[in-house]
Amino acid sequence: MVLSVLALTVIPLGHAAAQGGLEVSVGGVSMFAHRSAQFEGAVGTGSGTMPGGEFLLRLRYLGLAGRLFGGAFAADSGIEAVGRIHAGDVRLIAGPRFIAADIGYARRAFSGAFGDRSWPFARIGLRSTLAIGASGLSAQFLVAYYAGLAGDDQRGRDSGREAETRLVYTPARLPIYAALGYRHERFTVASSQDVRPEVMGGIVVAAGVRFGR
Amino acid sequence: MLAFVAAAPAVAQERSAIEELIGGAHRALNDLQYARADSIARSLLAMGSRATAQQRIEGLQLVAAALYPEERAAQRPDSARRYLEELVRATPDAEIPLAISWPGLDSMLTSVRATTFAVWATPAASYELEGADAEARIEVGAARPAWFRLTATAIGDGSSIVLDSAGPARSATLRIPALEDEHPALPWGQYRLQVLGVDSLTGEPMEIIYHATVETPPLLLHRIPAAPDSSQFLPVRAPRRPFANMAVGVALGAATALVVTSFGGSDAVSTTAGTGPAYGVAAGMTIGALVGAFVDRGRPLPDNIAHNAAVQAAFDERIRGLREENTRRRAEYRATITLAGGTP
Repeated sequence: MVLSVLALTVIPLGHAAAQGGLEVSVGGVSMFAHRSAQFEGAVGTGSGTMPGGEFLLRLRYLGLAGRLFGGAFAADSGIEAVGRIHAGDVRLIAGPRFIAADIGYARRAFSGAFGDRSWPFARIGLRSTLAIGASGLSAQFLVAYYAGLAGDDQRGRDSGREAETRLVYTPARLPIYAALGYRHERFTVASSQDVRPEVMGGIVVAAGVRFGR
Repeated sequence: MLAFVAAAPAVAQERSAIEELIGGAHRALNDLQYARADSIARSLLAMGSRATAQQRIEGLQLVAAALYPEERAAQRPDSARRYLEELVRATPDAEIPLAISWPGLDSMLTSVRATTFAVWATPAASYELEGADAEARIEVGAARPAWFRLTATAIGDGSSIVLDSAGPARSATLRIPALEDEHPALPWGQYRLQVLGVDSLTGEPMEIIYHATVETPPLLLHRIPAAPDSSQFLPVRAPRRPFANMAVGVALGAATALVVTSFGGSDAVSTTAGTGPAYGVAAGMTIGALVGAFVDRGRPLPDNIAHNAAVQAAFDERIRGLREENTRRRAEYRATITLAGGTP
């Protein structure tokens, strides 16, 4: 169903946009993650898969990107890392491809034994895409800092950071892309009682349609 | 011009004299004066090219009739047969006119025709060849299946060229093409044109000779280059940068390892987060990038590609124009071949 919608809408639009110099990509992304979280001094670990989607629109030095992904984590040890994590963002990209600012709004949500919580963030990052000749491969680097906005606790002291590397393959004759990478993120939620850090890392795979560049 | 005006009555007078000889031979035959008829007809044959081909045929018919009359005492069959053979070679389908014939002579002619190898040709007096593919066609025939060959020998330098051949067959068409490989098959000049027929069974040859005047101007065509000047083309790909690209691959792997080792921190949650797969992914991405750097052929250069396409398009357009001009010149090519003679 999703593929049909993509075929009927994104592909024709993307193809037309690419004719005008616009880079368009829409695809699925999945993170096979391991999570470690601390709550009231205890640390637990869990594993989970976080599927989702991502998009990118880019015209020369300006672009718009976003993603939404999430999934459930089962306990490996303890119960602190168990629950569902969802993350999403919308970012403005400014600058050349080899180094560009990646700034936007992000939101992170947690559902678990401690109830449902979500945290808004301002996201400030850098991204770099380096083509490996004309092989169709490119290396992507992404680092970002998350500054908490007024969250559920209305204190805005939450923070986070993330880093991601990807090797992306874009065939010359097909409007598709595929990527393999690694993502690592760390968030710290500050409540009135304590500070709750968590770290999540895992393999990232992504694939989708892509036009232009 | 004066010479032509003076020569015309002389030719007419000579023709008239020959007609007189033919008439005299006929009268001698009617008067049963076979020796006299033979003598008159032979004097006609002795006139050679001053007599027309038809007059010569009539002379042969008269000699044969004089040498093989009904009167047995006057018959000289061997001599008559010799002249009949010459008659058959000149005109294979010739008959003896009723006025001077009799059944015995007709039988001898039939016998001679059956045993005499004859070759004939029916060319046009002149060929106007229009177009590069045009050709002059000469129909040839033989009394029995034969090999045919058409040869032109330049009058002057004596060089010969075999133009066509055919057979074995009773009849065939020999061709003189206007052009061969874009050059006149026969360069402008005078030629001795030989139609040779060789009996396919006995090997007996017989030739017919023509004098050919050939007017074949050279066909001037544009040379068509196979490809544009290679110096006009620009490289379509940038030079390879294998070391820079390999460096990107190594940096990708190193950055991934760096993220794992130093980005998370050193507290309890960081040290317990699973980082094992990260090194495998880092290694995989590095190897993939190195392979990409190795197989990279260089970045395409769109401006140069467009430039080369324009050069090729301009070349194709020019070639199209040259081909059209050559086609026009080939279609408008004209040549003339004029034949005279035709004596065995």
